[in-house]
Amino acid sequence: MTDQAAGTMKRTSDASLALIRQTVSALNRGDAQAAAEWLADDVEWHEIGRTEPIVGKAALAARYGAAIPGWEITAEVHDIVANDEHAIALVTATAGMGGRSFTYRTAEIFHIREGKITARWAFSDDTAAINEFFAGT
Amino acid sequence: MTDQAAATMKRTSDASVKLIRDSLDALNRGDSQAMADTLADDVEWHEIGRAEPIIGKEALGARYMSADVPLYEIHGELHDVLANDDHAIALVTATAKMGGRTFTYRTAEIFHIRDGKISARWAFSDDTGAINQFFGGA
Repeated sequence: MTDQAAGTMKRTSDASLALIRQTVSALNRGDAQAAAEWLADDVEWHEIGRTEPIVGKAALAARYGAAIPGWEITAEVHDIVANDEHAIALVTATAGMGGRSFTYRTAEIFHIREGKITARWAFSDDTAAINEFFAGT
Repeated sequence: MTDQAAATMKRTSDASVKLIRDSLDALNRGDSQAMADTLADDVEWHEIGRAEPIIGKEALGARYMSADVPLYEIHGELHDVLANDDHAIALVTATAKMGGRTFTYRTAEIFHIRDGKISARWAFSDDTGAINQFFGGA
């Protein structure tokens, strides 16, 4: 691989890194509109504890914008790696709900197309604990 | 960042990607020595369902490589590997066989790499409860 080709690939993955950082940052400050701007209209959003993904930006906004009052998640990004196919953010998340607090770690796995997130999966080292905390939401 | 600096970083991450591919290939063909060669002597190996990591290549070898009859067989199909200077992450679809049962699951295998060897590993998945249920204390 030439230096120029490596530079081009690096710029592609850098764009994905910036996209994920901006999305997490928007979510942390509660700016759902800004976060939504980084999602493809037909985004496929897979959540721990749900067998089927939420499909579409509008459905996702309905879930997070209004359906779960009093639910807050703050994400601290430990690292992000990206290539042409995937971006993966290693995150320590702290959730607050109903006076309870819970901290857990995830690998947030994204597909990115044309500068937008088209799919997301969350993996963790203890999904049972996550399911227990969020039970019923 | 200059193209030359990007190329240097790319070569570093390429070396990490190759190390992870080599390690998984060794695991899949049952070559425990080749797999051990990819690990640092003081490797810290975190497993789903275990609160404490296995520390050291020797302890890990005792767990996985020394039994006359392996506890289980795992074949990992690599979906992608990503790496930067700090982490390598492999997206894997694993199929495990134990006691006549078969179970397929997906993991993000997260590695620290130091001096060309795996120095730490964590496994994340989308359903660790199912993984723990299958391996049930193994």
